[in-house]
Amino acid sequence: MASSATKHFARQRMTAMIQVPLTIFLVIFAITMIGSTREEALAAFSTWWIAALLVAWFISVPLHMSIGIGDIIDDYLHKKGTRSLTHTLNSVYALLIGILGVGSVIAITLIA
Amino acid sequence: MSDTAARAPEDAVRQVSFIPGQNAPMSPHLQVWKFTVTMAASITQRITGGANAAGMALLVLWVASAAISESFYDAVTGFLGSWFGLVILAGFTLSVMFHMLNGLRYLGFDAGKGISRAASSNSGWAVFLLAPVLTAIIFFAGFTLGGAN
Repeated sequence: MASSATKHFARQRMTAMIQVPLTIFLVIFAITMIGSTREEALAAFSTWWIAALLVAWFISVPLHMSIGIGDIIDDYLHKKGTRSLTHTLNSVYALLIGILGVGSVIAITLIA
Repeated sequence: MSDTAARAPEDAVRQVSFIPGQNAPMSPHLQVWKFTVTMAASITQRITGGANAAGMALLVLWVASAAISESFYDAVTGFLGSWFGLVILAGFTLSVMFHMLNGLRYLGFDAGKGISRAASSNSGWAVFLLAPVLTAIIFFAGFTLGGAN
């Protein structure tokens, strides 16, 4: 992590700025989705602009959270083996969130 | 000893030998700190960041369940709508609101705005106040204007 400080600095702030409007959208969207059936959810998730914003969300957030948690790992875990294993788990978790999130939105646009 | 005493007084003051593990200072220091709101906001930013990462699993579960099956979707939304699910969602919302507001504060700092001691402290208090207020507004909106009502 420490060797790519400038890249991470820029990426963390870039994704942060993207996520502010996306978070506001997601909160309002989630409120409108309260109590909806699966059919209504599929219709909403597959609306082109909602799908696009959700895909942007599921790409931006894993980038942001893997850098943030990576920094916490660097600061608090000092044993070499434990640290690199935790870094790997952090990357795997971010990848899973990204792939499952984007994959689900794409799958929904295909089936709905 | 006689060596040090022979030197000029200002040299004797500067000449301090630290032995790691005995008298050398350690960093990061987790035992000695002073409470300031900027420090509290900083550590809360880290804690909420971690909580948000965990919360992302719930968000993915929600979207994925809609893709998978009706019974799975009903199970996930049923859980999120239960009192236990709502408590988790309230915590997640509070965590996201704090992280977003404090993150905006840091983006301001990066741009050189509000970095004086008074301004950074005031904006820190404001974030701690605004995050629960926004969460309350979101939950009020959810219970009154939400899709189910």
